[in-house]
Amino acid sequence: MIEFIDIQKTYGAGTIHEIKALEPLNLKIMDGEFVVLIGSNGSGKSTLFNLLAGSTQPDKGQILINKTDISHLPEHQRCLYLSRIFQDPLSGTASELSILDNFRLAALRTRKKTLKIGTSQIFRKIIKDRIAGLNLGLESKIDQPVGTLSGGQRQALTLLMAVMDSSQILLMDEPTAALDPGTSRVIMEIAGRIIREEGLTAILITHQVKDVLRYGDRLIQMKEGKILRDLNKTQKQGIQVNEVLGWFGE
Amino acid sequence: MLNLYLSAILLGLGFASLSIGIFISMRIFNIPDITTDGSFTLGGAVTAVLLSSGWNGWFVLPLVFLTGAGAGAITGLIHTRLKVNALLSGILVMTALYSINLAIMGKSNIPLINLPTIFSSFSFFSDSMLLQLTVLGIIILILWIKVSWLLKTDFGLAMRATGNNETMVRALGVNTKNMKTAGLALANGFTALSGFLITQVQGFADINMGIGIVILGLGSVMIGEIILKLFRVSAITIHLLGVIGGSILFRIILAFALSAGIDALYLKLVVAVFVLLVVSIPNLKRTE
Repeated sequence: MIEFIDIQKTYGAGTIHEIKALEPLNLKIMDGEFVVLIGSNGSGKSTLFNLLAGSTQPDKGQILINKTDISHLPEHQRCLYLSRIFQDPLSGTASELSILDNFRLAALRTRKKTLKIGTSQIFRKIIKDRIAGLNLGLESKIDQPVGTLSGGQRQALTLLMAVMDSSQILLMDEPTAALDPGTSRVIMEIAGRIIREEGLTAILITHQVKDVLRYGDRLIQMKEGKILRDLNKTQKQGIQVNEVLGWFGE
Repeated sequence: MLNLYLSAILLGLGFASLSIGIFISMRIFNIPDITTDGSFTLGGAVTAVLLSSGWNGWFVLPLVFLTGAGAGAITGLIHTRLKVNALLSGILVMTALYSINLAIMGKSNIPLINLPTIFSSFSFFSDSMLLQLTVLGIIILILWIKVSWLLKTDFGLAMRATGNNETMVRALGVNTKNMKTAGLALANGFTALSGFLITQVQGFADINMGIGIVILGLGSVMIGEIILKLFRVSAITIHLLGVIGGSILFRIILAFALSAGIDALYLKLVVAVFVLLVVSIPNLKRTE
């Protein structure tokens, strides 16, 4: 369970550029819940993500994961709990390393990277099988540098890498914003499948209304650092495209 | 004439360790590390002083590596903990090292005439040049195998990914600050090791032996990469081999320039112009 308790974040406090990114905010997300997070630019969605992942620190308040306070844990230690998919499809993989090497690092996300060669034949076999499951034909290219692949292919690999090691929470910040519609659909389908199969707690930030309707079992809309709407699965089911579009004008 | 090229290969092998150091800092971590100038001389200074006081060269070797690594670690700590620009951190440590090196040496030049070196502990060839070539060749071969292995381990992968995509690596649970510090330590350890080798090849250590050496290393790395591009290989083991080959080739080119009549006075100018060419030619092509 993820809990935000009275979380507050202000950028440039005390200056004329002061921006209240998050008003005191309280939010509970249950295990296995797939939350879709929407809101216009500057509504605080990304700040919420960055606070959870540890790339920014809250001014006040606490963040708990499974009742453990992680508010002051550095970014690289939070990977014990969560993995992240970024908007830039290139940022989830290291371009000069091969697919295999990237997956090796992903498989060690919660563990120490020791002086041991871990890319064994057995490991190769496991990775090949998992990548074959993506149906993108990448299993024959695992020794190629990731930089030779397309953005969509890299984002698909990033998704798979996110579940290589025991993880409970998946954060996705507009994972398809930089991809063409066809590739976006493929990536979202892969994401949906992985979340279901692994039973992950997931949060998806998106501006794609179709994805808002198709994915997730809870819908949260943020505005000016506050939660404006919070709909559960049944409430979410009846929503129409126009309705969602209308919310952005409010 | 043949001797000129043989000694060029000899120097190339001696500088190969430096090139591997530059490969780690510049290519793997994307940090232009000027500490190199100081840590190379540091390696030479420690070597000359300890050999002069009767130490066995093979015991000096790990010590030299550690002092170089210490210098690199300081640059890394200044950069990652005090958040000073990487280039400036290196310049600061390099400047400080000048005084430290002078203090270690006690004078600006220490000759190693008639002192036992790592080469004199062997006698399988009577020809000293051939003997040095063999010993250096074996050292660099071991270095190549060791570094290739290191870069293929899980730790090495995390290291390579750090310079490549820091955001990702942090999300994968790597403390990138520590990783960069370790990388700079390693790089400067190899650089100091190069100072150790070159001092014994040349037969002296000099306070100015490190000036502009970072460019020499960079030139070697880039020459190696140009060769590798022709063969379209990306495996790290081969990449390192290219760096070593680049170092030797660079020395041969310089030997050729000298034998073609270029005044030794202009050697650094030739090096700078040559490296500029190597660095800029791929970019010129791209804009067309």
